[in-house]
Amino acid sequence: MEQESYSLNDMLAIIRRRKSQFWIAFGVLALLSLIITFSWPATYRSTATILITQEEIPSQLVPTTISGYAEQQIRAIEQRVMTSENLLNIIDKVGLYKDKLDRLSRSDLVDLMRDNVTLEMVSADVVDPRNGKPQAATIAFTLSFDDESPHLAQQVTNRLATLFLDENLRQRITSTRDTAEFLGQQADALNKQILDLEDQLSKFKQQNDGALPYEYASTLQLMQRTQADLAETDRTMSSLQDRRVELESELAQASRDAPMKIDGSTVLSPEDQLRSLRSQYASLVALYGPNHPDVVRTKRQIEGLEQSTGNVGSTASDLSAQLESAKSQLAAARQQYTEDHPEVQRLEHTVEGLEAQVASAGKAGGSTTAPTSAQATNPTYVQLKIRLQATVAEMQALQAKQQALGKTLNTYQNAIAKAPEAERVYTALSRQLDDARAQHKDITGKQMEAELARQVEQNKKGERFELAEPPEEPTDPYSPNRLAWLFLGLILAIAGSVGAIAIAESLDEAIRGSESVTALLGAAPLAVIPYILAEGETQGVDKRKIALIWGIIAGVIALVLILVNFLYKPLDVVWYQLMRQLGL
Amino acid sequence: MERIKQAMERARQEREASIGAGPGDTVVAHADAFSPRGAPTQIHYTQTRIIRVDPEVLRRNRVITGTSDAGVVDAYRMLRTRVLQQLNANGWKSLAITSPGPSEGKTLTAVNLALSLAMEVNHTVLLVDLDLRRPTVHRLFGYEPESGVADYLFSDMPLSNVLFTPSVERLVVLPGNTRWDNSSEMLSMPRTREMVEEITKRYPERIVLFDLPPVLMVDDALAFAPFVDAFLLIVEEGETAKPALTQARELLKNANVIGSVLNKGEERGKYYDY
Repeated sequence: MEQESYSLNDMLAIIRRRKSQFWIAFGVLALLSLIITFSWPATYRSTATILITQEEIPSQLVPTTISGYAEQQIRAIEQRVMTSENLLNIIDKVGLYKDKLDRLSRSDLVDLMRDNVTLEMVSADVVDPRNGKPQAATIAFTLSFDDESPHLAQQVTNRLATLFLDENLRQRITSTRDTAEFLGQQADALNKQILDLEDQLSKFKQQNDGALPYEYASTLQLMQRTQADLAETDRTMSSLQDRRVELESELAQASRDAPMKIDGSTVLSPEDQLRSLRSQYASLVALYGPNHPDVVRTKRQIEGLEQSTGNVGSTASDLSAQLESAKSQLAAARQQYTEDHPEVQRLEHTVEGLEAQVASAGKAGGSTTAPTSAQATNPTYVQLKIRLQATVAEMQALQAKQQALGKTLNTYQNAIAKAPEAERVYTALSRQLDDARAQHKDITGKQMEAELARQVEQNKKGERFELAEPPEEPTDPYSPNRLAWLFLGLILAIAGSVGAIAIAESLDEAIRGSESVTALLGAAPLAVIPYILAEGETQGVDKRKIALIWGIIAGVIALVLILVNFLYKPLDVVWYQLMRQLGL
Repeated sequence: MERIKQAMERARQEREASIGAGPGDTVVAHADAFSPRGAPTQIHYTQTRIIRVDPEVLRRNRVITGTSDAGVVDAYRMLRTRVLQQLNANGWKSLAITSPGPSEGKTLTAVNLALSLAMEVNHTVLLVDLDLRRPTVHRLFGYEPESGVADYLFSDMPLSNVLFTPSVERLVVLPGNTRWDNSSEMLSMPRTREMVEEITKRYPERIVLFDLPPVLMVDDALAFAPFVDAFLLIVEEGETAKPALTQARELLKNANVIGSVLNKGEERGKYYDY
């Protein structure tokens, strides 16, 4: 198709030409939009207004443990409330969507219901007291539900509002309770930790007695004192030693028994007699046989003395000396004689006998001197003896003290050596304990605050939702806005008709006007013959005019009816009222 | 002024010469001045059939009459004058009227142009209905002829039996009556050529109008083109498609197209109340 540009005249010509087409298209479209507008079912909206009341106890006094903005909380609650379970529950209880129950799946019903729920925040402009900036604060929200039945809309809104209120309360209480419980658990754990640390510390103290930092100075002092004591004791000990040596030498010089004077001469003591007899005996035995009368006599004398002095047998030294000599005799005899010589055999016998004696004397050796303490008769001796005994006893005591002091000193020295390590561990433990105590104090304080907040929530003194305006059963439909639809439909009808004409015009290739003939043939038509009215055609024009008038009248009536229906009352209501007035 | 006076004087003389005693007789005499065989000796002066035409019928068929809309009559006068100018300038006598498509007003234009031409006293007009497939000229006059142009061409019927005058001076109609489907062959026959030459050349002041079928529908018009001096294209506003017109002009490019007529023109408002 060639490029076409329309002048205003062309436009007018088109309009004149396509008038009827326009009106037909317009009429059809307008009628269609009218039918849609008025056959669309009315939807009713029931709305509940829920106010967010401020806490009754100022948050400066009892800070709440619930954080987040009101809108955030509301949205969170919405998520909890608008669950499929809750919605299906409402659908079942209220009897919603009865006509759709068998056509739609459960999830589709829930989606449909969600689409029909509207949650809108009501905000107020407030100035933030902290930074002075104006901002919008949510002070309330409205909850709406749309349905074709006003009664159902109200019921559903009511239930939804109740769910919101309950959920909010439950959530706040749960939240504050959880906080308090958590803090309590924390406090308990810290308490246990403190007890544990205290236990550790006391054990450590016990193990490191004297090595602890605060004991260090005193321990040092004690050690020094003990060292001094020990030195003193050593000195006393050495002087006692000297005395003992002195006393012992004196005692050795002093005779046990006072010398017996018989006839002015000193009589030998039985011991001395025994000793001399024994030596005599040994030499006699060597000189003679054992059965020599001298030997037997001497032996008898020795036995008598032994019984009187209690010194049984020869002393060990005597016996051993005898044994040595016997052994040497035996060795000499063996060099001279054979083993079977009677002399050798006799000597062997003697050695054996002596060896047995020595052995038995060794066994009874301890007791041989015991009866010596028997009545000492020399006074000087006795005095010396007593003094020696005292000195020895004193020495023994001092020795014990020395040992004890040494042990103590050792302990102190150990403690001093351990001190640096002990200090480190002690400091660490103490610090842990301090930390734990501080934390515990902190947590306990918070726990108490949380507990208080919980009390506030439980007693419904905190920030909460309040049903400011319960949902009412709507009397007027919320949608559709029929006037707007009507207007829109009218505009669409006009646009559609214009479009239809434009399309028809663009598809139309017919020649219009002499200009187009000129354009095609290169010459203007010789003549332009107007439309020739045939006989009877004038009548047709009149008919059309009459039809047009009737059309206008019908249109006006339709318009009036529509306006009545929309602006005044639905036509069926008007109709019923008319019938009632007529008594039908 | 002098020239005009001379022209008027001449016109008057010519009119008196051609009309003779009575309008009807004169026309008949002229019309019957030739015979089918072309032999002058066999001329018989028979009365041409004169039809009484009911003005009501004419009005119903949109044929212009004395009481027609002045605008329409003026438009046809304009057409007549311009056609005459063209014909006179080129010395042409015959004019074929056709259009790209059917029902675009060929026949009506032909009849009205013929009437308009006939109103000017200088000419006589012969209107030949050569739309052999759908002859309709006679219907506009409310007349059903017993015989038509085909009878004249093929059945040796005397022309006088075929012609009729619709009670208008200086106008004779050669109607068609039966439908012929091989019309283009008939139109290209030598007999047809003879007839055209006969009816156009015998009388100097006669203008012959041929009503032809649509150019794009059948080849009649193209077949007949060599026998006719000029073509007039009829265009109907809001009906004739632009490509059709272009195509028709293309087909007739070897013929003399004196111009076009725009029927049902909607521009009348511009000049109407002059």
